[in-house]
Amino acid sequence: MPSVWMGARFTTLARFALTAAGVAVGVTLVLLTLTAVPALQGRDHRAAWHATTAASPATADRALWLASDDHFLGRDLFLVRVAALGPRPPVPPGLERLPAPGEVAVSPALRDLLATTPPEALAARLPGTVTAGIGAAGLAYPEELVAVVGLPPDQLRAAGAAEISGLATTAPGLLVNDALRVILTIGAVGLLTPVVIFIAASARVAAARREQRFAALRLVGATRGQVAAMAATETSLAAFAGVALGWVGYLLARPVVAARVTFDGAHFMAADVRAPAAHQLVVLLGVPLLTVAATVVALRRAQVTPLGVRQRVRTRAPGLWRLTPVALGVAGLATIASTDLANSSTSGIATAQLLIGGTFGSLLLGLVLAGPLLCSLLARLLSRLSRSMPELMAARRIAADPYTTFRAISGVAIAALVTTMFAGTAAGVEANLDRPAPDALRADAVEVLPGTRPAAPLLTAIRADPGVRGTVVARRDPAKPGAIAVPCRDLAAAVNLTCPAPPAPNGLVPRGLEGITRLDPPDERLPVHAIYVVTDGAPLTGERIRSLAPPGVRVSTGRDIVELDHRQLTELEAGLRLAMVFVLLVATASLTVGVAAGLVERRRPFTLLRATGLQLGELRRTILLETALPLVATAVCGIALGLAASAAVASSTGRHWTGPGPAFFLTAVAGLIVTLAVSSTTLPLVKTVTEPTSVRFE
Amino acid sequence: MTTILAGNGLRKRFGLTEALRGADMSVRAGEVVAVMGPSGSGKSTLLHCLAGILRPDAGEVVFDGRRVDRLSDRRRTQLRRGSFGFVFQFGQLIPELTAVENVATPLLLAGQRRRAAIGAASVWFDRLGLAGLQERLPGELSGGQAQRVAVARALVGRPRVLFADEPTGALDTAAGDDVMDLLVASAREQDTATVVVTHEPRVAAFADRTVLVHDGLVDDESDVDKSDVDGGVAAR
Amino acid sequence: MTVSYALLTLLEENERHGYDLKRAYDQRFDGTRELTFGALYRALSQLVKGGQATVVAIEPGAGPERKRYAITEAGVTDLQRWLAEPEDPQPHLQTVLFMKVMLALMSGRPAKAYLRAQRAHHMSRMRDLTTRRRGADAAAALRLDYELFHVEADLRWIDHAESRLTDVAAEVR
Repeated sequence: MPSVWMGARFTTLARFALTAAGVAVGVTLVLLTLTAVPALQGRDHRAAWHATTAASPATADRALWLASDDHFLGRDLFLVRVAALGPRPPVPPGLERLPAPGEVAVSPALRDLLATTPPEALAARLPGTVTAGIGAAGLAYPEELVAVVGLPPDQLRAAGAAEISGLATTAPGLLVNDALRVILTIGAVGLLTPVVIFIAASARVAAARREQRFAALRLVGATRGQVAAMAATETSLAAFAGVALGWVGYLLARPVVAARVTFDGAHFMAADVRAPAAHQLVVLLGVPLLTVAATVVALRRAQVTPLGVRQRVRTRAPGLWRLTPVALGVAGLATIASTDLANSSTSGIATAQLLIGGTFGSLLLGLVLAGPLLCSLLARLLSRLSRSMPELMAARRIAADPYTTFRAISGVAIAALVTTMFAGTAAGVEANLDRPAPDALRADAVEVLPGTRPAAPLLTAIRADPGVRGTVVARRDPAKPGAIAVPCRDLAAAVNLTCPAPPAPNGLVPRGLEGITRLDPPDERLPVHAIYVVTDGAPLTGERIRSLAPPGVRVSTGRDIVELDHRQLTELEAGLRLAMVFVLLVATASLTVGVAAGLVERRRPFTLLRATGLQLGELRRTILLETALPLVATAVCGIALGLAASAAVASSTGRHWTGPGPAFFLTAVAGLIVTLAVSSTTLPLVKTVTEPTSVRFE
Repeated sequence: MTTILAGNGLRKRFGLTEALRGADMSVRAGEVVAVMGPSGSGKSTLLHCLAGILRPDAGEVVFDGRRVDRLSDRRRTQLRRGSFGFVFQFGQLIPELTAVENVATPLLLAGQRRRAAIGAASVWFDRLGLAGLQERLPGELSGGQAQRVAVARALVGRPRVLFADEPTGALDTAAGDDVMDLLVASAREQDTATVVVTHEPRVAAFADRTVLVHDGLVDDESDVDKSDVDGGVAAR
Repeated sequence: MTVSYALLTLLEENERHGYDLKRAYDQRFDGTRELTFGALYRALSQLVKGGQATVVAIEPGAGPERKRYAITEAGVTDLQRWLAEPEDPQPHLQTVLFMKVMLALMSGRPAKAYLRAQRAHHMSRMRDLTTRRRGADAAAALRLDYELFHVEADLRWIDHAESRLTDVAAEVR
């Protein structure tokens, strides 16, 4: 028996290495995907105390609490002013005690920022001395800007602070919800699928040789079960090696993920980037099982009898029924496109989400099922049009086994569909964001809403700032809702609007102009409603103005919201790009392994053909053709389906669909070319494997 | 008859073993020559050198006045495609192509149109007793049928020389005889010189003459047969 | 016939008595038909009559007188010719082919050259049979096949013998 194993040592080793590598990559990826929920939950949980209100459950003595969501140069700054009203006030996590009046506790990131920022732009907002740091337990993410400022109780009361007797402890659950879980599950499956395909492709490396070996074993009396067990043993050994490797990879990748991956512009706490133990166990045991299953299925196609592998005859051509899921998916898209998601009820949205999920699912499944049919049709077309020998050989090869052909390229097809789907949707969102908002706050303007605070000293302070070019004061008569008193021409210097008013109702309306439909002539007697400051455009000017404002005054710059949306979109795109690069990479690897396996499988006829005068170039063209043609065709189908899907979603949400830009298509073409180029690395192999001089005429 | 293919002083070494040690052999137009010899004697290497598959380390191969051993790999491939035909022991048919497409391969490679090539290939099916098997895949043919398809493929391009390496190696004697009958008859019919490498005397007996390869050298048996034996008999 | 040439080979080595010759023959060709004294003396007297051998001495002894035989010039020439000459292929030729190889080896003559000549002769017969079979009707072809298979068997033995020559020569000499 050992000699039987030794006989194919090299190929066994190659297969072992490929399988182990595939499993390792799969395990690392799935484990990292599984860290997403704990990481987000951790962020949610750590930030729970930010949401403290008077209604939070009582756990301690009373305290005054005035929280505000401030900003600094586009970054969120959580600022809370506190005053203890008893000896045992509630203490936020990460702090040892509540800061006394005149004391300030800051997060490490804020401490760094204070050190590098002119005091009037930031430190002015934190009256007192920094006496403490806030630990990780109180920070949603490592670089979060948080300040807890101790103030005298009476000053706080005057600013409108709430009286609390405990901190909020339950996370608002804004980040982790069912939709996210579904997305993560789809993502994990999407990442795992190409890995499984890769493993199955690896199992077929030198399959013929292995099957011969198994046939020899069956001849000396091994039962079918024993042979299957042997194959499974071989694979599971590789799988366990891969699992160990993958787990180590996961451990190594955790700090990298914590250091590199951002969500909402922020990194995760390293301690939160950890898959739950139970999940880890499931993955570590489940992936080997999956691997063995993939191998057994891959081997099953060639039932090993004692007399060798059963003679390969025609495989049954794929039936038209394979189009059903695609047809269902397309019907689903049509339904989605005709639904008005933007204006439907909550239950309507839930139904629509179900519809979208089902449609995307059936499109994905449909692509995988219809792929062989597509390949088969393609082969038929090619064989009809073929003029040269390479074309005919490629056509017949695809037609002979469209299933294997498609399996090799399915990863690329899926990647094409999913990428296009998201790129199309993202492009739609972006197009909407980029649409100029004529009534938005100008980039160099700042809006100050004094609320109940006295406006006059604030106005004086603002006008004294060297970066301020001018101020526009909008006043308002409480008795006249929908109208403010401000000259249109003045307002136009800070806000994009056409004069004469009213401001257009659409777009990003500055908070101070929400609900305003009429501009009245200025009237100095009315109370100040909003101050629009025209600055020199330097970012710090805005921050200085923010710092001038006492608690309770809202200061916003035009960028705050837009930047946040952009950030999320960029992250989504970056993450998607990363996932797609990975999928494409693994798919390319499977394709390459598949091409090499197909070559080795046909070594003898190819070698003899070369002996009889087939040029090397013709052989290479055949192999390239039988790979490239189905690859391009299925990728095009995937892209088409993806475009249709994104268009349908855009139309249902009432957005204007533009489709992904030329950059996307260039990237897609480049991706295909890279995939082909990588799988072409097998072409030099064609020469050595089919060298006619290596023929042994046994 | 003129010599169309000759190998003179051929030497070929594979690592430590010297497969050919100065072998000479010539093939005359239209004749059928059998190359015999024990396993490992170098007979396949000799065939591969003559056919331009291998380049000899020393010596020359001349086909039709051209030095084959000096041609580039590309030119030798073209020569094999255009002027030579090949039949191997087994496994030379492309599994995904139908029988008739397999036969048409050399014509398609030569740039013939598909329809014409298939048509020319079909003619051979009746001639070789393969009528009705055109659309079969190689996996659906018997050993003898597959070998006859291989013979048709080797001859369809009307090569000047046909090389057959143990063409009946995997067949029983009856099927082997049929294949050899068809091979030799068809080759003679279109005046194709044939070199058959075999270890079976039955197969060699189809040839006009036999050469023996021993330890990398060629003994032309016809010389032995003519001089020694006839001389001996005459002396009696 | 082969017995005569075997005796000549033995005589070429040494002059021998009749009894000696029988013992040497039985030893060397163990397994072929046993040589009776009757056959031995019949062959010897024919050789003497044909001038290929001669009686060189008559020694008295216990029992019958003992003649000492020797090979003549004519005997050597005849042996040489016979050993070089390939036999026409025919069924049941094996003994002759075998004896020729053995005698050539014993007498230091080129057994390989003989085998090559025999091979060429057999090959030529096979070619002839194959050609005749091509035009023959089925029954005739079957008869020719019978002959072909037997000639082929000889040929296979010839090829095999050639590959074993060195071993056998070492043993015989």
